[in-house]
Amino acid sequence: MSRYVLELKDVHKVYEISREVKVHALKGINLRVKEGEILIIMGPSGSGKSTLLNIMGTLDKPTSGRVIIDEVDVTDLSEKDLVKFRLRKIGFIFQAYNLLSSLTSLENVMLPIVISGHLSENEARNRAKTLLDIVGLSDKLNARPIQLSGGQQQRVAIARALANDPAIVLADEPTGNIDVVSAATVLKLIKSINKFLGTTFVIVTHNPDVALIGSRIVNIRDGTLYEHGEVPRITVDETFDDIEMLELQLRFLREELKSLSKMYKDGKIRKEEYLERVRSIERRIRMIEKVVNIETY
Amino acid sequence: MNSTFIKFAMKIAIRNAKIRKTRTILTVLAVTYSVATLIALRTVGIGVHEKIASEIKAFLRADIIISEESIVIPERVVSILESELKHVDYIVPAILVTGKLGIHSVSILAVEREGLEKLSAELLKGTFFKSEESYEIILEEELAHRMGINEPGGEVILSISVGNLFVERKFKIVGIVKRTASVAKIVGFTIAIVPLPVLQDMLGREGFINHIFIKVSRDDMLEAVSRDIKTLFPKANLIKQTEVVEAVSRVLNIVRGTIYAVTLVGLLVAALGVMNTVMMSIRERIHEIGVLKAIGAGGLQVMVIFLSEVLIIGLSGGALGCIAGYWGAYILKRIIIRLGLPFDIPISIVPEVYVWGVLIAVSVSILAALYPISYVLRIRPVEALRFE
Repeated sequence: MSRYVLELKDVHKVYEISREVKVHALKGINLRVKEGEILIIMGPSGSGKSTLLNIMGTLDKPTSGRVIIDEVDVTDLSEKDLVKFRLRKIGFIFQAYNLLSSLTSLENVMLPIVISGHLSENEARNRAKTLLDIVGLSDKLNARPIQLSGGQQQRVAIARALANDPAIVLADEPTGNIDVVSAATVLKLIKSINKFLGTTFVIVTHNPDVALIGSRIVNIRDGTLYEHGEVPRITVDETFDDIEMLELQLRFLREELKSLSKMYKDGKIRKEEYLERVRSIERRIRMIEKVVNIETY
Repeated sequence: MNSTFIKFAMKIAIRNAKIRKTRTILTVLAVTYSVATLIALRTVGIGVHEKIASEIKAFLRADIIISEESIVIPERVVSILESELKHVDYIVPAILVTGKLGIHSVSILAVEREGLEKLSAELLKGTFFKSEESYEIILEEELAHRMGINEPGGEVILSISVGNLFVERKFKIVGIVKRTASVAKIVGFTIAIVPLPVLQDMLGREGFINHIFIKVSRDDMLEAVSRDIKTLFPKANLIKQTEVVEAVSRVLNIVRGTIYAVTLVGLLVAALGVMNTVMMSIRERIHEIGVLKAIGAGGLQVMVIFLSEVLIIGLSGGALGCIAGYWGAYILKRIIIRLGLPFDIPISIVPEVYVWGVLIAVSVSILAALYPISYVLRIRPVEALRFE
């Protein structure tokens, strides 16, 4: 039985521009995002998709309705609590990458881990290195964003989004600013991370190419959602699932297990959360091990 | 907030300061200027204070002075004091009145020959008095210069009016003595010295004086000696050297207050500079603030990043201000000499002045930045992310 990592219940958003002028950006959105899926939200500009993403990401609050993420109703949380919640549960990928220009790739990926304060500097660095390995940028650890291409910057941003092992990653036009070839790499990467790390993605786009990696597509028009049904699995170039990549991901997940047990010992997370996350990681590890065994067999 | 994050905040702050080099340097310079002014003025102020204290010591040449306006102290008081007081080096009876040498107003000091030596007058030319009874006068260097007298030997008319008494006598200039203190020059105080019995005779006050200079043998006995004098002569009007130094210090403090007001203006300018820099920095980086908040940085954490930048400005401005202030003190000293004040102000490094300089630089910077930085708390990520 799949679990829902995100639920929107009858979400409305009204922008009050003046007393007379009100914009009804979202009109009763009901949406459930299953754990491990890639949900594509498609819609033209002005359709309300960015508003929807902001509400999903707890950056904005709905005028009415409920937002439930990882079984927590976040609708009425204070900004202070939301900040903590975002840090642990949500990863963001922006169209304009939004890396900090003063930090190197490695430091950008380390940043959310450092902010959370759960790991030591060394542990944070190792984890960030592994993530950059996974996105294929192990040779650009010390490059500043300005020294990277758009596609590379977006891959750093993906690694940053994964830094605290979030329940869900929200991406806003992740290929909007990059060339076609790099876009393909980024999409393959998202797909393979989803497949082997089991990370749930919600991607907002108006680009049909992006939609190809989705497991489900919904359309948004004028603030209302229309289900698109299951998407044919056109999917990703299978050569991407090579053993090396999978082993990297295995390494990452095993390190994740280690740091989880450390966090638990240090009293930084509760027992239930610890057990739940361990189970989820172990499931992902078994999945990868199965593939690796088949490949090497 | 963990130490790794603070390290990261510092890293971000340093790199941003480097990226916006010109602005950072200008702001640091504003802080540097104000700290340098503060340190230079304070260093010179301390020097002036030391100098004046030593000048007063050189000028008064006694630790305790019994002083009366009119010549009413019987000379036998001196012998009583000499026999009764302990811990005393010497006691010099004297008359100090104002008079005129030609057109020049002067202070006339009448002492006995041995008193002259005790007050360590340093003879430049000529001799001390040949006898206690002759009408001989010794001029101070500065006074002689003003009167156009280079060598002893000539004669001058000394006129003194005390109450309704007016007397005039001709005196022979026998010697010229060195100035003892440059303070005297500033206040226009000049001295001519005559034998005590001569002045007493001239004013018809034989056996009476109006000043007694007392030198205490040990500094820590000053209070005890003053007490003893008070017991012997309860009505005696005592001036203690320490009190004079204190009185002058009080005047200097008023001057210092004015100087601090000037420094305050400098600090205010620096504060405005920091405030402006931080405001601009935040305006330019609203988007970045949005990103930080979106990925889970709390308002306080973002504030720490900007505060680190302010800390860098404050610390480097403070440090540079210390160096500039040290050299500034020398420049100020030169200016004072150029202005015609003959002060050889001793410049010494007073560590606490520098510590204060850095502390003030850092705290003024942080205080000035708090208001603009508090804006960070109010920035909502969703709006900041839209901001390009």
